[in-house]
Amino acid sequence: MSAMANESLKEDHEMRGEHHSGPGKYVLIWFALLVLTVVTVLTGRMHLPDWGLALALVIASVKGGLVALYFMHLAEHKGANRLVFATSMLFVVLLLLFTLFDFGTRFRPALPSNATPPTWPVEVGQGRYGGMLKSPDTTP
Amino acid sequence: MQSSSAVAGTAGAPPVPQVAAHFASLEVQNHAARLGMWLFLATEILLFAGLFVCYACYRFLFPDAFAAASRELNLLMGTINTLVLITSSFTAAMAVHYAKEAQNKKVVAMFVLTILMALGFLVIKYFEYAHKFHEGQLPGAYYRFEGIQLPGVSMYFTIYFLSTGLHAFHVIIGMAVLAWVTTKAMRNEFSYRNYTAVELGSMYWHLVDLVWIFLFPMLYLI
Repeated sequence: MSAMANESLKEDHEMRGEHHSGPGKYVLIWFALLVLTVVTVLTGRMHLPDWGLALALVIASVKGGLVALYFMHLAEHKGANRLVFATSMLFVVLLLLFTLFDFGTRFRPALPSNATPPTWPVEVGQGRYGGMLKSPDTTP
Repeated sequence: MQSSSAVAGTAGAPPVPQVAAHFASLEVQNHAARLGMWLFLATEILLFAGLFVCYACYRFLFPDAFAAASRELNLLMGTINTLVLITSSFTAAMAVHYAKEAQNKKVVAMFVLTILMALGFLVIKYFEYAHKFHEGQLPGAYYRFEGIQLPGVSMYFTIYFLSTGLHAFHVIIGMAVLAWVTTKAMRNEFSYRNYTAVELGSMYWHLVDLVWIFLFPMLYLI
């Protein structure tokens, strides 16, 4: 109980310091967000083939980080607030990753007829059989 | 601090916030309120994450259809909306700053600006939706756009309408929350001792901005 009170008193003290979050910092973050938006539109219009999505996600994450850290004061807050935010982000990443592991490891019979599956060894005749496909040189 | 002149009551002076019996002090109570808001925002993030996962799966299955469909979106309107929402987030952050300094008139001004920009966002969104309806670029079985006839295109528009619709719903709720806090600021309620409503209200608005920051490249910039 007292530890909690101490923590929030400390946080309260830090929130009070005007050098932590003044209008100047907000203007700076706002300007950075505007510039990053223009950057992501320009790089998005180039339709970069392989790493366009990765670049767009990195820019979006930087923008989101700036909003969370400075507009939402996570940079000044300590302890539980950061833990809650970090945990929710971790769960979002886990949810995305594990679902994509599933989709990324499917072979053609497990996909819609018009989907484009990744090329698997079994399809180029290299691996051993998997799913319903067998490599061409196997005798039935 | 209890007896400071800012607290003493002339008519319309800022009231002293009530501390509930189960909190040791006002600071602890504010800390709990902020933590509760973060927990709520975490559930909001996970709500939108479900749609992000849908998007990731169908984009993985139909990459060409998604690329072709996203070119149908109006990039100019999307970009303007992003800039509008980021600016509204900035004014909401400024409102918190002024609330701490007990400048309630500036809090009102900042939140009115924020709400007006939110309204502008919805108006632009309306024009985008109207165009989509006109062209027949609609979700699921209602898709009747002749221009692109690839499998998976209607999935793109399903996800487009679900995610932007859920986001627009959050914009409307955010406007209502900010309007409520604005009426409190009009009654001159906020000061360094009492600005939790302003802080939590603008945190909600920043989350709306945060979600759009990810929706924008996903939908418009493939």
